[in-house]
Amino acid sequence: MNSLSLLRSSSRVLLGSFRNAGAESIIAPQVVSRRHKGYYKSSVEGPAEQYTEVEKSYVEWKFVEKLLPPKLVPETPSDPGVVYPSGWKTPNPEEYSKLPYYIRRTKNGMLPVYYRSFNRGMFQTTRVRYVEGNVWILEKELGQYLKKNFPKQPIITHANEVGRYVQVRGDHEPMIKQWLLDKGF
Amino acid sequence: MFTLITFSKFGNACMCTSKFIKSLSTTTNKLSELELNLTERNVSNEVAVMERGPLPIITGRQLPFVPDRRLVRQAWVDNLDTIEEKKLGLVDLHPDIFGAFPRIDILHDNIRWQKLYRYINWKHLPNRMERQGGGRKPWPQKGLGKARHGSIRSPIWYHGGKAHGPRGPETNFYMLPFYQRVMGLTTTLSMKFAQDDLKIVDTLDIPTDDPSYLQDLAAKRHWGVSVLYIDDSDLMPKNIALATDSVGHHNLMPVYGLNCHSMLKHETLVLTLAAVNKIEDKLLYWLHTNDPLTPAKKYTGQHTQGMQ
Repeated sequence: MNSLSLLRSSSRVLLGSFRNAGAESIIAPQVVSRRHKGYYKSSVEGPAEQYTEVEKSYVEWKFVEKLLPPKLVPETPSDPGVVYPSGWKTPNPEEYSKLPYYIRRTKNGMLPVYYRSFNRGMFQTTRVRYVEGNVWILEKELGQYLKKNFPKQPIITHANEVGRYVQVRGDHEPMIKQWLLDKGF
Repeated sequence: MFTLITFSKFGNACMCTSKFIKSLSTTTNKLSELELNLTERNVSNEVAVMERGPLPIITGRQLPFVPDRRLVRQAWVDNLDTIEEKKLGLVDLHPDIFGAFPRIDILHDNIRWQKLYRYINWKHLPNRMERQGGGRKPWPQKGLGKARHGSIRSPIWYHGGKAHGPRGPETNFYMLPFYQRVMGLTTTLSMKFAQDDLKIVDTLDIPTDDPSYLQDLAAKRHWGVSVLYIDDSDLMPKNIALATDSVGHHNLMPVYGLNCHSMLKHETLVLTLAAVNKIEDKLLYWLHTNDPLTPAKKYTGQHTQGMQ
């Protein structure tokens, strides 16, 4: 602390002498602006009366722990088909267990339906990922459902069994999500 | 060194599986062996008597994050201390690690990456500036009736420089995205398990350091020629370390060295219970972490910026 303050004072003197170099006869009071704004400009430590004593305590650590984010995403609630106040709905095995395909929620409990536009918005695709079971039946049913809702649009679907996804051209993300939610996924 | 995924920062994260089979970790045996080694250096073929707790060793585990519509996989726990196979118990395996969908495209990406990142293309041919000589004009421009030439190292000359030759050495290093590496491990483990090429043993303690013991054991149990033994730490038991030392197709590996290429190279993969525990802990941690982007950013960008 001492060395730092010494440095500061010396630089102040230098600055003042440089300013007054041209006019030696004029005795002007050296006004040094003190701006305790930045980290390096501010004084390191105040007077001792300003501070209290430090005591180590681990009792309140549990309240800090509440604020720390968990390392793992907690498991999603397992009550089937419950709609939470946020609008989030849990999957319902009773509804989807009869279907030949299954779409697993992501670790965050969301449906793995992803919209993507590429080539500056030239192409738009919606992809349903993590499909288990029969991809081809899902592709067919999804195409029929979209065709019923958009009879004038060409619905072009594509299924990849190795990549476990079904892809539709166009922006159909909310529609597909609702359709999957209605099926219980 | 990039084949492994380093988990050391978050090692032994708050998974609840570890407490169930922690007592089976072989580290204590290894340490006691080391101490013995310091006092008496008797490397002989004495058959030691192995001690084991009451059977079955393990009957069930609490697995976190088991998804709906997925069966918990089960595998026999075998022994290594006799050539004949003994079933010591059953162990539950997580369906996301040992029963994952085989993404063979991701597996191919992993294998290709493991071959490429260490491959340096040394092909190099000198251009006209790098060949010796050629600074002098071979003959005057005019008056000889010959073609105009300025250098004997021009690319059209015999023994001239190469115009657009390979400019080696070139690196092929790149980093596969983190979660493709994770998926590569789960895919390979699942495929090995589905093809019955994944064996689980209690420990890697064998009674002798004779290399023929492991070969007889592998032949008796139809494990094929090459076997990869994986333990939780890199401090291996003495006997198996000596037994595999002179045999090229029986290899030891710690969990942090687990990679797709080695698993495919060996016909059989042998995991200890402690290794199973550690692999599951770490892979499940990355599959369910709250902070998925930190490892994803780890190697991308900073390594590739200078090369492009």
